Amino acid sequence: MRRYIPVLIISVFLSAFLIGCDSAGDDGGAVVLDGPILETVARAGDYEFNGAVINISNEPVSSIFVLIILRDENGETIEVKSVSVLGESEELLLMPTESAFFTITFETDPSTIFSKEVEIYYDEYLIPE
Amino acid sequence: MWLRENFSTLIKIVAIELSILMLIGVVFYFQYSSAKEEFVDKTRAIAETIGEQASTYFSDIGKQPTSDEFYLFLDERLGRKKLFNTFEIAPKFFSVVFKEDVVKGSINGYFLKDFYPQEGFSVNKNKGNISVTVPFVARDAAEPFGIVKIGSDNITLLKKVFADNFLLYLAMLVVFNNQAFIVYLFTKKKKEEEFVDKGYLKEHSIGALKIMHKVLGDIIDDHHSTDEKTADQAKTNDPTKNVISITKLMTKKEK
Repeated sequence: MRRYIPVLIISVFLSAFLIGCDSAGDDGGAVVLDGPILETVARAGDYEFNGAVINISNEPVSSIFVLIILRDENGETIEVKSVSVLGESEELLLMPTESAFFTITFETDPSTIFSKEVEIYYDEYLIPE
Repeated sequence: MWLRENFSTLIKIVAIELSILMLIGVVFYFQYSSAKEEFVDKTRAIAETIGEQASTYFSDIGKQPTSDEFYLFLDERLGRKKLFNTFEIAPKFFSVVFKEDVVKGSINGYFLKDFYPQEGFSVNKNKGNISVTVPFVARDAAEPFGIVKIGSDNITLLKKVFADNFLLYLAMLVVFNNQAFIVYLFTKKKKEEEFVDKGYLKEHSIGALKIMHKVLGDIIDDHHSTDEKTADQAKTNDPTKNVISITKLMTKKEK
């Protein structure tokens, strides 16, 4: 029986590894991108990102910030910018299933950018008792 | 101590597990290649749709509106979710760039410049990123007006393929491990049987040989003694020869 123990141990470890890899891809979160972000060079040569976020939870959320990180070919961060989707006031809420637009403009030369990342931050709104 | 005793067994187990993982890896690789081809096909289709909308929008209004207005136009015409619902992996970014910006040099390098692809679209793979670009033309124009680019990174594709087929890989892992275990049990049983057979043969053969050796020894001794007796008798019984048999005398004395 003792001989079979390594087989069991290895099998369990491999299964745990595979499950771990699988769950690593989950985004999660109450606020997600509502479709992809449009990246373009707009009027006056502004390098611009336009997108929308949606509240997929059952609770309202506030203070939503979208952050875009631009990186060069070596993975070094060139520029990071964020925008408040609902405005500065904490009282403004994004209700469940509601979506909101955002625009972020960069001064960086687009030719130097190799990859982009987007991150979304928000506060869960606590309903006062 | 246990590890030292079972080191070879452990090595065999690791080798078998690695072989199983390699086999699963081959399956994963083919599925990933297939997913990449599918991604390119779907991306091309959606990029063409965006290109058509861009063609309509910019032909009517020109390049004056900013990109946020174009984004709202796309949202109104196609819907954000509907636009990308054909994708299994929705890209986080898509780009629309005008040819005149590329010609002016304001967008060098990053955006692809392939405005005249042979197949109507081009695929660019670079450092873990894959992107599809489709040019679009303004109404009644001979030259391309701009280019639509949709990209994804390979890691996202890998994760998606892995997540979709996770149960299959897990099932393969379990089934192959079971098969290996069954084979191990069969070989082990066979070895034990062989060992028992050999032991039995060895033990009994030695015993039989000992008995045979003893029997043969006795026969040889008997033959020897019989030969000696007949030789002595022949000598004593011969009257012509004056020989006294010592053996006869000795037997007489003993009596």
